[in-house]
Amino acid sequence: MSRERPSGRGPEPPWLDPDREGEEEVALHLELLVEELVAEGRTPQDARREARRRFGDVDSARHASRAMTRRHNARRGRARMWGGFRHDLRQAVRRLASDRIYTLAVVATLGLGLGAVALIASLVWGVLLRALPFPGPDRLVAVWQDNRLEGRPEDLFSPANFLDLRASATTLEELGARLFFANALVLEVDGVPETVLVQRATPSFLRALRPEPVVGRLFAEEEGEPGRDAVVLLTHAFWRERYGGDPGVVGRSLTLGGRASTVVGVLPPSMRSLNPEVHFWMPLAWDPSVHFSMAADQRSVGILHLVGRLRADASVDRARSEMVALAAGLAEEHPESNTGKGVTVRGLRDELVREARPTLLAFAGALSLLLVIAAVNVTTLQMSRASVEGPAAAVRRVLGAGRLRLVRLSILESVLPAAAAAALALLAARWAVQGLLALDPVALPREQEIRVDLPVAVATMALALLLAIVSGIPSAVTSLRATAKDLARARGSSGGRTAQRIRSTLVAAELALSVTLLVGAGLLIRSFGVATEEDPGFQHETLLSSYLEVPESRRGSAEDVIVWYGEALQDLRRLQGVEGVGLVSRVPLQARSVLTRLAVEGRDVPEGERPDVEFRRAWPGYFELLGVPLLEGRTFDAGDSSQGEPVAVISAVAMREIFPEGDAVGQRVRWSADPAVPPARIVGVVGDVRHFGLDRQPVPELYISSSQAPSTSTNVLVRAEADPATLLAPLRSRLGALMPGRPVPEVELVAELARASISDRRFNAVVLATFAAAALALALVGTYGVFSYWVSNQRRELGIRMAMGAAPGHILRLVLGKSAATVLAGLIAGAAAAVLLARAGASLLYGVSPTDPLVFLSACTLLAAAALGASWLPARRAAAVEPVETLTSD
Amino acid sequence: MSNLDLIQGTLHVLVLRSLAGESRHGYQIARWVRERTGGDLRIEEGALYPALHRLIRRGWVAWEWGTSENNRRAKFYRLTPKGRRQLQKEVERWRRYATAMGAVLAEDQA
Repeated sequence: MSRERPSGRGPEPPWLDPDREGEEEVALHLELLVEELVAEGRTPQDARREARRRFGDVDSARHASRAMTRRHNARRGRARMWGGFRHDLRQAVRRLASDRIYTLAVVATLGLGLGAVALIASLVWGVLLRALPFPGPDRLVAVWQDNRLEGRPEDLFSPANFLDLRASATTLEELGARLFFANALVLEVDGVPETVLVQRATPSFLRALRPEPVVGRLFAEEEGEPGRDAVVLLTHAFWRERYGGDPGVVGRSLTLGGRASTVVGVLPPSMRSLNPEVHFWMPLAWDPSVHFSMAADQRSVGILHLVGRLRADASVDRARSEMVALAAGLAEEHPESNTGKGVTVRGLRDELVREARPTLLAFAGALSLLLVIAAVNVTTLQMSRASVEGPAAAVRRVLGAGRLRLVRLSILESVLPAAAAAALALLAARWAVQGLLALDPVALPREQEIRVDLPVAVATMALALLLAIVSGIPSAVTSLRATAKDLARARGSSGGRTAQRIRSTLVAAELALSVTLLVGAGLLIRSFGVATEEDPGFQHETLLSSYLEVPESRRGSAEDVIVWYGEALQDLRRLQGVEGVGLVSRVPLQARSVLTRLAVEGRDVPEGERPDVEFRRAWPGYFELLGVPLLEGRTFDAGDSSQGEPVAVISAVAMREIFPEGDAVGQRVRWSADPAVPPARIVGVVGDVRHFGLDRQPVPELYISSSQAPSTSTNVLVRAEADPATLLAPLRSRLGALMPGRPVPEVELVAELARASISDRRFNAVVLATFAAAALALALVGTYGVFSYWVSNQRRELGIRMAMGAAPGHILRLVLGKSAATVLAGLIAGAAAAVLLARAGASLLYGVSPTDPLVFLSACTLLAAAALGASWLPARRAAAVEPVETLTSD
Repeated sequence: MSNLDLIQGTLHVLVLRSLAGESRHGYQIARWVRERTGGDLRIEEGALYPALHRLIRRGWVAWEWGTSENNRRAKFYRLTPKGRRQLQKEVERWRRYATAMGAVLAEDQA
C-alpha cells in the first residue's frame, strides 16, 4: 500500500501502513541521535553503537508506534463512515422535507397502520400470548364436570366428586379446588366494619398454581380442615391499599366474618388473573355450617372450580383420558347423582382467555386488513414518487454517485418516515390503550396486564423497519437502473401504462379491504344498537339498588326478621323522592347466577334430570315495583305470611319449558335439596327479565316470597320519582342509619348495570369503527393520490383532447368514469369478502344478520361517495387544463 | 552525582511537560528531557514510545505528521486540552510532594 496516495481530502492520507510507520519513526529517531553524537565528535561507527545503547528496546518502541497508527486508522475509518452517513442523512432529510406532501402521506399512512398494530398487539400480547404468571404455566389445567344430561360441558364439581377424583388421579401432581363464588364477609378494623370479598380455595389449589407469596407462606394442608382454617392470605392489591405494603402484616390477627383469623402471607399480583375482585383468600374447609353444599360428602351440588398441575411426564390428553375414565367409575358407583357426568380437561391459559378469543381474532383480522391497506398505500406512493424521481436518480447516477450511496440514500428515505411513524404510533397506542380500557371491557379478562410495553414497542419498530425496507425497494431499484438513456426520455409523458394499471388495481384492493372493515364495524355497531334497545323486561331507568342486612339483635326468629324488613321498607319509602321500595335476593342485570334444581311434585324424575332454574327471593310488591307484567294467577301479597302455605312465582320461559301444557299455577315444587324446606305452590306466572344482561336471552326463573322464608340479608331496589342520581347520597346515609355498626352499603344505578352489561359490545364496536375510519381515510388518500398522479401524467393528452374540441364536462366524465370503474370493482370484491368474514365472526353479532342489507348498503354507499369525492378533485383539475399551455410547455 | 532511576509515573509527567510549549517528535522529546535534567534523569529513549502510546490512549496526547528540522517526515506529538489540564494537576502534585519531602529532610538535618 502506498503512503503517498493522492489525498485531496486533507493534509494527511487517511490510511497509514502501521509497519512502515513504526519502522520510519524509530529510524528517524536513531538517525537524529547519531547525527548529534557525530556532531559531538564521535566516529560514525561509535555514534551508531552509542545511539543503539541509549535508545534501548527498539522492538517495543516500534510496537508502540505501530499501535498508534492502527488506532489512528480505526478512528479515521469510523469518522469517515459517520461523515458519509451524516451527509446522506442530511440529504435524505432535505429531500423528504422538500417533498412534504409525500412525506406526510407516508408518515400518516404508516402511523395509522403501525398504531393499530401496537394497539392490538398490546391487547393480544397482554391477553393471549403472555405466559400465565405462574411457574410451569403449560402444565396447569382446568378441570370441569362435563354435565352431559344438561348439555353443560363446564359444570362445577361437588366436593365429594372432587375428593374422589383427587384421590385417584395419577397424571396430576396436584389437584385443587376453589369455591366458584366469592363470599362477602365483614372485616372489622378498629371497630369499623366493612364488606370484603373472600375467595375460598383448598390448600392444594394454591399448591397446584404455585404463586410465589410476596411475604409469608401459602396455606398448609391441615389448614383445609374445619376448625383449623382461621388463616387468611391477603391479595396484593388489598395489602398495598390497606396496609401500605407493610410486610409486618403477617402474623397479625383480623376479625373477618366475626371470627379471628391470622394473616399468614400476601399473594402476588398474578393471582388477579383468577379473580380480580377479592381481597382475601381463605382455606376451603369442608364445613357444612358455612354452606350446606360444602360438606365433604355432598355429591349432587356443584360449587367448585378445579385447577390441576400435570406431572412432568403427563400430557393434557393423558390427563383427560384418565379423568374421563375416573368419572365413568364414579357414575357407576353413584348413579343417583353422577349419571351422565364426565370430565372436561383444558389448559388453564385457554380457559382464562376463551371468552376474549373471538373478539381478539376479529381485531387481529381487522388489523391485518388495515395493515395491508397501509402497505398498499405506501407502495403506491413510493411508485408514484419513484417514477417522478426517475430522472433525478438518473442525473445522480450519470454524475457518478456510487451504487452504495444511492441504495443507502433510498433506504434512509424510507426508514426515516417509517421510524417517525412508528414513534407516533407508539405514543398514540399508549394513549389509545388507556382509552379502550376505560370502556371497561369485561371480555378482556386480564386487563391489568394490558399495556404498550417493550416487546410490543420492539415488534412495532421491527415491523416499521421491514415495511420501510420493502417499500424502499422499488425506488432503490429505479435509481440503480437509471441510466443516461432515462435522461433522454425523462420528459416523456407515458409514465408507464402498466404502472398505472398496477396502481389502479392496488386502489381497488384498498377499497375492497375498506368495505370489509366498514361492514364489520357496521355490523358490530348495529349489534350494540340492537342490544341497547333491548327491553330488559322491567323498567330500569329510575331504579337504584343497594343492600340490606338484618341487625344481629333482630334475627331472633323468621318473624322478627320479617318485621324488621317491613320497618326498613317503611323507613326508606318515607325518603324524599322515593316512589317505591322492593326487596330481592339478587339485583337484575348484575349477572350473578344462583341455580337450583326444581322437583315438581307428582313427577318422577331422577335428580340429575330435574330442570335448573334461577332462584330469587322477592318481597311482596317487587314485581309491581319493577313493572314486570303478571301473565297468570297472582304475585306475592301481604297475605303470604310465614304461617301460610309457601308460594312461588315462575317466569314465562320457566312455564314454557317446565310446564309446556300451561298448567303451572297450582302445582307444588321443591326448590331446595334440603328436605326440611317445604315445597312451594306456584301461584302465578310473570314476564321474563333479562337478568344477565340486555343481550342475554331470559332463562327459567323461580321466585320465592321472602315474606315467608326470609334470609338475613337482601338486596333492596328503590324507584326514584325523578332523576335517580339525586337519591344516591340520601339513600346511602339512610341505609347506614338503618344498620348501625355495619358497613354502609354501596348504592348503584340499575341503568348503569344495564349499560355495563353490554360494555363489551360497545368496546368491540368502538375498536372496529376506529379501524374502519382509519381504513376509510387511507383508502381516500390512496384514491386521491393515484388519480391525481394519473391526471398530472396525462396533462399533455388531455390538453390535446381539449384542443381538439373536447368540453371540460367531457374530460370530467372521462376521469370520473375511470375512477368509477375502479371503485365498483373494489366494492364488489369487498362486499363478497365481507360476507365470508361476517359469517365467520357471527358469534360476535347480536340481533343482526351477517348479511344485513342495510349495513352492506350503507358501507358501500359511504365508500363509493367518498372515493368518487376523492377523485373529483383531480378530475376538476383535469377539466381545467389549458390546452395551449400544456402543448407549449417543454 | 549518580544517575537517578525514574520513579514510576515520572516519565509521563516529563513527556507531558516537554510538550507543554510546542509539539515535538520523539527525538526532540528525548533531547528536551536530557537537556532540562542535565543528564541526571537517565531514560532509555526507546521507552518514550510505549509511554506516548499510553498517553494517547488516555486522550492526553495527539499526533500528526509534519516535517522535521532535517526535512524528514516526522510524527509530531502535542498536548490535547485534556492533557494540558492533566499536566497542571501533575505539576501541582509534584510540587506538594517535593515541598513535603523537602520539609521532612530539612528537619532531619537540623
